[in-house]
Amino acid sequence: MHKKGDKEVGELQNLSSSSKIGVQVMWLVVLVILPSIFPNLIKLTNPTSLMVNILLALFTSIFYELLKRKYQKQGKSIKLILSLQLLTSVILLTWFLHVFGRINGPFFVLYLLTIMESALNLSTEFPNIVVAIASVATVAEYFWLINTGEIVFSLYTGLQLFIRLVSLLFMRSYGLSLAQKFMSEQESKNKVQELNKKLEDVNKQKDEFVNMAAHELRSPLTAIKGYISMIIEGDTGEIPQKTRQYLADSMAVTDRLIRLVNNMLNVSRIEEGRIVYQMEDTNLIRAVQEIYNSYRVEAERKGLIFKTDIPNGLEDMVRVDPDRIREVVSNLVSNAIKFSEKGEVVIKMTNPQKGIVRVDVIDNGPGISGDEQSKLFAKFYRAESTAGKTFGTGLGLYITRLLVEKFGGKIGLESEIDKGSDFWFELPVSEEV
Amino acid sequence: MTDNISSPLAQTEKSDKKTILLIEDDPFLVGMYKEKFIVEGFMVLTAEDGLQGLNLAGTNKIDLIILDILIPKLSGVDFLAKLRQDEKLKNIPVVALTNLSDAKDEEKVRSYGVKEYLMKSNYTPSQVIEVIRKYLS
Repeated sequence: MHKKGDKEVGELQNLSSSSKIGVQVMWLVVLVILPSIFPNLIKLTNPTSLMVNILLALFTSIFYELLKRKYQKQGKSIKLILSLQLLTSVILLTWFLHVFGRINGPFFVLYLLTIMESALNLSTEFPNIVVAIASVATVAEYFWLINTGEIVFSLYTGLQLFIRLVSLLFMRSYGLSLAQKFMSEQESKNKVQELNKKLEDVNKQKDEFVNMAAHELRSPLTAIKGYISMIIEGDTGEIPQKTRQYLADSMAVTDRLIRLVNNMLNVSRIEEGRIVYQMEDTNLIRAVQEIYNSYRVEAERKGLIFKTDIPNGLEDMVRVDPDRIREVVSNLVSNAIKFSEKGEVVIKMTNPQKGIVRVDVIDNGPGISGDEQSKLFAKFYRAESTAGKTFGTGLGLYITRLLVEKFGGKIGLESEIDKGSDFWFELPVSEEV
Repeated sequence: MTDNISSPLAQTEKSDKKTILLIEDDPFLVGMYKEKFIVEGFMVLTAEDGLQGLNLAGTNKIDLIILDILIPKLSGVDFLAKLRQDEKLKNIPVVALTNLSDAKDEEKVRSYGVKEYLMKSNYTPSQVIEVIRKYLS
């Protein structure tokens, strides 16, 4: 472990200050309460001396705090002051232990706090100094007590001394390992923060790039789509049926390309959870009706019967992002229309059980084999029609599934080859407002 | 004898036609929209950047502005800001026709009071006409 930089010292100071204050408060409480409970156990029963000691503790704390603040304001290093403060703490602790006399045993462990703090704020060598001073003081006091006759030199007292010295060594190791654990946690936290920031930057760059790319791609696509639509609409005069057909196909493919471009950004955002959803209580019926209206013309052009089947009194309130749920319905409907050449497309809504609302998009298209069904909602999977051509971008159903699941629902498919398909999704009905 | 006075009928015909100012820098798209608008019976003025657009708006009677956002010299947003500052021009309805899909961009443009914010690639020229008709009555 290396010596801490000054900035880190300051940060760690804040963290351990609460424990420091706790210790100091505890000291004061003990110095005031204990003498009243056990007057014979404390050597300094003289109230004046007691007061002097309390004030001594207070004074040194305040003195050092003020000094540190002053130095910090001036931008100077507080390392020296910290060292002095810790040394003072050790000496004071030793002195108070002496003052406490026979019952000071449990308080011996307070050295641990000083050891930890010095390891965190200064260096790994400082605990050695603390332990050295504490050992010397402990031994010195022992002999001083023998000298004053308070205790006798015996196996019993010698053992007590030995235990104290050994516990000092344990406290040093334990304090060091605690400090090290704390510091490596800090390091990991910092690293995580750094990586997160980098990730944010990369994502932002990616978004910007995709946005610009999407914009650039959309312009020529708009022109292609626009000119083709104008020819189909007859702006250049009568066109043969076959021409119209080819042009319609070109339009469809162009639309597919436009959808792919629009989807590019969404997929990565949804996957990474970076889309911000505006969740609201929404009427699912209204969303379905809007999508129905927007696809009527297209269905008509293909000669399909397009209708909705929504019973009265349907429970349709759901908690979703209104724009996204429209995307979901739109994706299913657009697929149904795209894949069907005949028959009908029906959007059916039901409450299969209380608290669930279900939307089925049923078509008479070519159907989907059991094999493909399991892969359909996966990323980049494109369904094969029976003729072997590929449709779709491979992203629509995947995004649809992610969205439905995000809103707490389920999505699925029932289909057989040549028997059409029923794409469905279910959502929980939200509680009455 | 030369007829110096245009017939009243011709004059009313001319003034009946609504004038659309199209501000768009992609020449393919300009050609396409202009064709469609003329076929549908509108007069069309075109500008390829925001500055030119502002000039044309100031010197002609414009009934509707179709505005691309990513244009040179004066961006669509700056154009809108200047338009709103001009007493004579601030009430001309503006329809934003752009390929910028970012929600933040849309919010910014809408805050200048555009009547619609349309994604170019989602609308055929006919569909654009359908949308703008209601602002041209």
